[in-house]
Amino acid sequence: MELSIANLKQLLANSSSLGNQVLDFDDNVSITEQGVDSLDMMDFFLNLEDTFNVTIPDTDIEKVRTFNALFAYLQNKVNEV
Amino acid sequence: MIGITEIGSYIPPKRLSNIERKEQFDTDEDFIYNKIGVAQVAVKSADEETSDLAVKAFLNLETKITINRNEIEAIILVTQNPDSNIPHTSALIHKALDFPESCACFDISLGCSGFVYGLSVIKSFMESNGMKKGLLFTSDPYSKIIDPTDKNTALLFGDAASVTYLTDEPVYKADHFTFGTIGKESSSLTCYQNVLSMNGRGIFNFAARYIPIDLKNIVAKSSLNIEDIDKFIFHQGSKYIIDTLIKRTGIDSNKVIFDIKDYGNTVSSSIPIILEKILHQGNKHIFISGFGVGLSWASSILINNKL
Repeated sequence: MELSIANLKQLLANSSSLGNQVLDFDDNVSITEQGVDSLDMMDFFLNLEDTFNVTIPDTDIEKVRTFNALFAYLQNKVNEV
Repeated sequence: MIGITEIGSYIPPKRLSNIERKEQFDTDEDFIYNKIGVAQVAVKSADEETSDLAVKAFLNLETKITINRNEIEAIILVTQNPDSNIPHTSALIHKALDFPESCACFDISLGCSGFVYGLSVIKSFMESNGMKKGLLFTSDPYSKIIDPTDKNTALLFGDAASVTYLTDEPVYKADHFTFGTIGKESSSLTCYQNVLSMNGRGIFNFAARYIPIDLKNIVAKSSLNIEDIDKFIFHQGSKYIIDTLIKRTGIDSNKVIFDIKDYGNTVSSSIPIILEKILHQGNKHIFISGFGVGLSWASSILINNKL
């Protein structure tokens, strides 16, 4: 899957009980503050790791709370591989 | 051939409501019912010990089937919260129920994978020593080690015990087992200075990644098709993990049992408590899979010996 904010949102839509509502989320606002709970976030991060073949340690979770931050973080990670 | 003949259990009557604690933990009813899947947790009384819960499970077993206590040849207890470090708690069960001096007793230190591990151990132990009647206990009351202010664990774990009666005339035999350990991730579930600590993400990732693969492996090993499995009993970790396993394995959700809303995740007792309820319903093949502390897992396919 190509790394893009649209695709990140689609992955979250697959994980979250909010479904396609997350496609309209603000890219600069915390994903959890927009209504996604902690368990759906765990599933989302697992799917991100599997999809992009990266590891996102617990210590980095606080750095990737918005879609914009997450996209930038993953771009760096993917380039490292 | 040694297998499962009957199962008894004991769930303490006292409950702690998660709904009443929702403000304390900054959560809501939707999350409690639909994500955790536990509305209340069972809690033993202060004067009940691990062995007491096991003894009560055995008394429940005796209401279902006649057991000559003098014929019991082996007792295994799965626990990581024993009455004390010395002696082993299975010896205290032996004392309380007045089993014969010829009976072998030992404990196994495992968490949520413990019932399936224990089943393999007691089956092999009895078969290799020519024994015909044995008991596999699970009793691991986490209320002894839970920090009541820890949201990760306080809303999840409940106390209970089970006992599985194994004989040479079983209802279910267990022919296939798989086991595994990811020791490098063991820090995800620990107990230091008598306080439980759980990294929920670590446990979730472990179960979601490894258990679907394990299911495929054991089905292949058994020469069955996945459609041949009538019921799937995963360790009852939470509703979310069961829903995730259904999603990641693609199995029929109607065949998957989740039933801990009224008492919580009872660690190694979670599988036998569910199995007890469906033991005589005529299912041909039942898949059981325990996973947790270690991080470890064990799975088996139970085959109805009467069909």
